[in-house]
Amino acid sequence: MAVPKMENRQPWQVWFRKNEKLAVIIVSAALIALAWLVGRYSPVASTVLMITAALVSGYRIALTAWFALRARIISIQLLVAIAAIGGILIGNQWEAAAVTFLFAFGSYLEARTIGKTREAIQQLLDLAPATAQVLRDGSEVTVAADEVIQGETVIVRSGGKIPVDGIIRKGDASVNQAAITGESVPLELEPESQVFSGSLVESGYIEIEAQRVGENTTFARILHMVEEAQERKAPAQKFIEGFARWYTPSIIALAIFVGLLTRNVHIALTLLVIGCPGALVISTPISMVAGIGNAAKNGVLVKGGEYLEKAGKITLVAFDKTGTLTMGRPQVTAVVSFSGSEEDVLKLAAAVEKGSEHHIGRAIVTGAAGRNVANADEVKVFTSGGISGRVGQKLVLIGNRRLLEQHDISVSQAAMDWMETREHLGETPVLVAADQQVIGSISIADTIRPEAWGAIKALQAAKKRVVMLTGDNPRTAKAIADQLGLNEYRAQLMPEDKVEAIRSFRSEGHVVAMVGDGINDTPALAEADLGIAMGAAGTDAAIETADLTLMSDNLDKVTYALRLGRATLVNIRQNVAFAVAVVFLLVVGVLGQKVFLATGMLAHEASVMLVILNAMRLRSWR
Amino acid sequence: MTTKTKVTAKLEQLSCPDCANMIARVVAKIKGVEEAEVRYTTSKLIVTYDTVVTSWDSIAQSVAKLGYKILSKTTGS
Repeated sequence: MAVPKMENRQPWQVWFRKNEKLAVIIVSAALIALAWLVGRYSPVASTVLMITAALVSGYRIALTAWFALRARIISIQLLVAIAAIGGILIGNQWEAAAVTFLFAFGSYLEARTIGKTREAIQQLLDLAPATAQVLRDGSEVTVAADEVIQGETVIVRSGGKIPVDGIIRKGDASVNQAAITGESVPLELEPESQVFSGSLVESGYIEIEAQRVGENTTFARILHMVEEAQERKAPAQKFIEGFARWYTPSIIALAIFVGLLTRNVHIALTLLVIGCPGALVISTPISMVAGIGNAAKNGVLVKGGEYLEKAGKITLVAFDKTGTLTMGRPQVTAVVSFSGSEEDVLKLAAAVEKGSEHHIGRAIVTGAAGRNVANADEVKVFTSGGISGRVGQKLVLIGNRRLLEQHDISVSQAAMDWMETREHLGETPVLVAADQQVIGSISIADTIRPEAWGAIKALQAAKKRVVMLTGDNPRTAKAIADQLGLNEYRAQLMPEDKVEAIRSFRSEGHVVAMVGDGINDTPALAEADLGIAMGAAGTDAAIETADLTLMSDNLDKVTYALRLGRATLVNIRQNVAFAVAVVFLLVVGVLGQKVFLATGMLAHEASVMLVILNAMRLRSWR
Repeated sequence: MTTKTKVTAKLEQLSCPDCANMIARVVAKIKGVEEAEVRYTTSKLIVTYDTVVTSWDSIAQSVAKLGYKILSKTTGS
């Protein structure tokens, strides 16, 4: 028979082709219902209807079983088919129909629900635009998003989605980067700002220089990583699969043994039905998939389910200070003058620091921005810290007390007192001298992230030990720790000292999470049980090293990730405990002749479904 | 020139890890298939085969015979 052409097909034919499995289930359910109804009047008709129902829902199962068997593989479908055929042969048509129907219906529902669990990722995928507006030969053309050439100018208007990673060259816009960072608050972006594919321009107009397109965008790689993470098998899962590999043949052997021994075919067939510990094999991966999906939606990339499990077991959280607990952008916090105006102190210092690469120098230059700053010459940088230069007629020297004293400049008590006060606040003051006289001092500090207090409180409330690790001097470290309400900190640490610190925490029996920016903390991140890199949108190295990556630099995501880990862990434990109980009860129930074909299959499918539904709660967990 | 090729195909959502294992094992037994893996959570079939001995069509046919739909396919290195 020729297959009708598409246009000749009836609507129901099209529907049937698409929903074959559902159609089979509906027809077989209807047949079973009908068989029950006519059973009172005609047992023969009822039997025929039941067998038909078993054939309808069992046909596909038997085919699968057959093709697998031809490849010498004993499939679950084979066990179900044998049970159904056996059921009919021993005159138990109702049970045969129920077994095949429940198996088909259960598989259908389970696949649908698992598909829903993965929807979080699908929603992300939908955020990537398929086309881009680019400028070619002076005119605007529409091309596929992955055909944009590196360096081309991409135009995005209000309401449009950004199709590439790049730098804004012209215009400004309010951009929502929720797809990347999980933060739904839009950012006001100007020229020179970095933008990511998958972000939404809520209002404004921008021209972007494309840097990374198609598969290379941050967004595409996030999706790729999430998929890989979901595919990765956690150790617990491997263990369970090992158990299942052993369990199924054992049950088959038991079925044959019991059948031969007791001549009770019904029990033997029922054993076949429960031969697959479905709820158990699915218990771990399904919770992981849901948990990883939830994390991705919130801007947290998890390398694999095992790391989510680990996040749930953390007892100690170590934070790097600079760039993690603080913004990593030092700013001028106070200026004092001992002769002349504070304005002059800042301007003179900024003149000398203009070309400085040092973070203190840059902070001073930024602090003097908008003021009329002169140019300096004869600029000299001291390797021990400090800088000098000539501004007009004045020889200006900036540095600490030791440097000034080396240059025979005496530092007054007033200046020393002022500096000490600032240091106690966790700031770094530098002295400014002009023509061998201290004229003032500028204090620089890195600002603590506004959400740091809340995040640390939440961790402490959750009974986690929180430690700050920093390369800063003990005084600054103590000041920051005090401000944050942290009673534990380690100061003056070189990168290898941080590794050593983490190692010692672990040897005390702690499960350690290390939170850093993923650039200079890489060894410590690797040493920790769980390495968490933050603010990683755009930095590949961090994503590579870290087990958990926060795409935004919001510290609240650390507590969120650990709580999600905990929730996932609890969810997995619930599932495993439930599934083990089901396996046990089913075996006992079958051998004790309390559970038969239909009830066995119902319990099996219902338990699988319950495990999936329980895992799905993680999808909307917050 | 090598005649080996690797294909990643997206299957309809699988309902259980056993189905995934079964499909992988059936595909792996096709002559010319070097390696076959089915990832249950993402319902992906990743298969490496020798194009001289077998073809994608016969692999796809085996999967269809087992009752699973193939939604999309990409050929990779």
